[in-house]
Amino acid sequence: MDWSPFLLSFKLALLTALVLLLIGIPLAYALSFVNWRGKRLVQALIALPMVLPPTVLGFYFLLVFSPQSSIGTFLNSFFDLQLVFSFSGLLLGSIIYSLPFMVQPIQNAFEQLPNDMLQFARVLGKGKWAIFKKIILPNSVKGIATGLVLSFAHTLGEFGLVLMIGGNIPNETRVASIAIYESVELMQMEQANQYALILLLISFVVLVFIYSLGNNSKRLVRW
Amino acid sequence: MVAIRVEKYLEVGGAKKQFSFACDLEDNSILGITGPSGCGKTSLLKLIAGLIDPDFAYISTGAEILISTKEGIECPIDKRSVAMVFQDQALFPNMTIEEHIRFVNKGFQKTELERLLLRLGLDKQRNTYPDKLSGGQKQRLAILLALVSDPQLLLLDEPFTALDDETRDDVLSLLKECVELKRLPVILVSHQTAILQQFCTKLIKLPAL
Repeated sequence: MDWSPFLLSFKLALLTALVLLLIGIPLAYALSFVNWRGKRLVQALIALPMVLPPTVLGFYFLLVFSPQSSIGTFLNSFFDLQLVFSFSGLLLGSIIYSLPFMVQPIQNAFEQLPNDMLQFARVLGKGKWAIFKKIILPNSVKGIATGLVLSFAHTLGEFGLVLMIGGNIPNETRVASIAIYESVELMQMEQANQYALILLLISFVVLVFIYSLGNNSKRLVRW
Repeated sequence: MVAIRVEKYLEVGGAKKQFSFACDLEDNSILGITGPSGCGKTSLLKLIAGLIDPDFAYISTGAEILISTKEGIECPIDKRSVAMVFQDQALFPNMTIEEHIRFVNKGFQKTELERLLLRLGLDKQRNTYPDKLSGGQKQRLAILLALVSDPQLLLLDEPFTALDDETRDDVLSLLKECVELKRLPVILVSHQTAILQQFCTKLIKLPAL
């Protein structure tokens, strides 16, 4: 069996999850604790990939970053960067596509922290940065872990977007989901089954992990 | 001397009603505040601490003006040196008692800390997380943290609800000691008027809004 599509999928999912972690925490903080104009608009934009068909996102990505577009030409001539049909393009697309899966669990975790707790820390003379480091982050670990795992799993299972902006270039954009599609097209059903079974198992393990992060003590309460 | 003048329209039962409060407080005194539910007792403490924006306010502690809306002066919440203990003991679930204290004041004098821990009956729980503490222990820890933060003014919102009579008297005598030793002014909100009458230098009953 050719493992390269899986290695590529893992590399893409891992990089996407790590970049999203860096973007997701400050974004979730700004959405949870800061009042600013246009907040609802940004919130809707972040959630858009959850309801939008991946092909729509892929289509506009192609339109904006194709070598014929002004942005594509600019990136190519100044940074020697081609985003369409390349791994870096796939990474950027995945980051946009999985953004809500990182931001929303962290935002939920931040918003569930009791206001009294944060205010108590403030009136004890602690600054906002110290409160963020020592109270907000450690008490939101479950939300952050959920965001990491969800965005990793979501990227791993990506198909439509990858097909639109990455195509099927071995070791560059041919990720596991594309390899399954190609195997089926070539009637190599056994290989498709192997790939599919591995993705199925990974998704299942990821979900078990997320559910095990939840608080099970509620089940023990008599009522 | 602490000077407090605040005004704020508060929402009560869907209607906005004006709340105003004015009082001067000596450095080594305890001001008791009581009144019916919804009369603005907790809001008053939050206005003083800076957790609610006032419509008008002038608050000063000794030489420092904490807020003066007229002059456009407003000291940030964490720089006011006004510690407040909440009714619901808002502790930090990820920290043990000792970590709480280190978080609030890393350099707090060790012998004084040991004395306070012993005095409040928390010396054996120093490595315990809040979810393993009783309501009374949480309340005592919250008061301890407020004292450790070295405030210029201490605000207590219903601090005795989770305490049994004996512990309550212990906490009261500790507070009295701090007031006398450190000349720390305290504002104490409670609906237990009898305790306030016995313990406070001055008692104000807020009218219903």
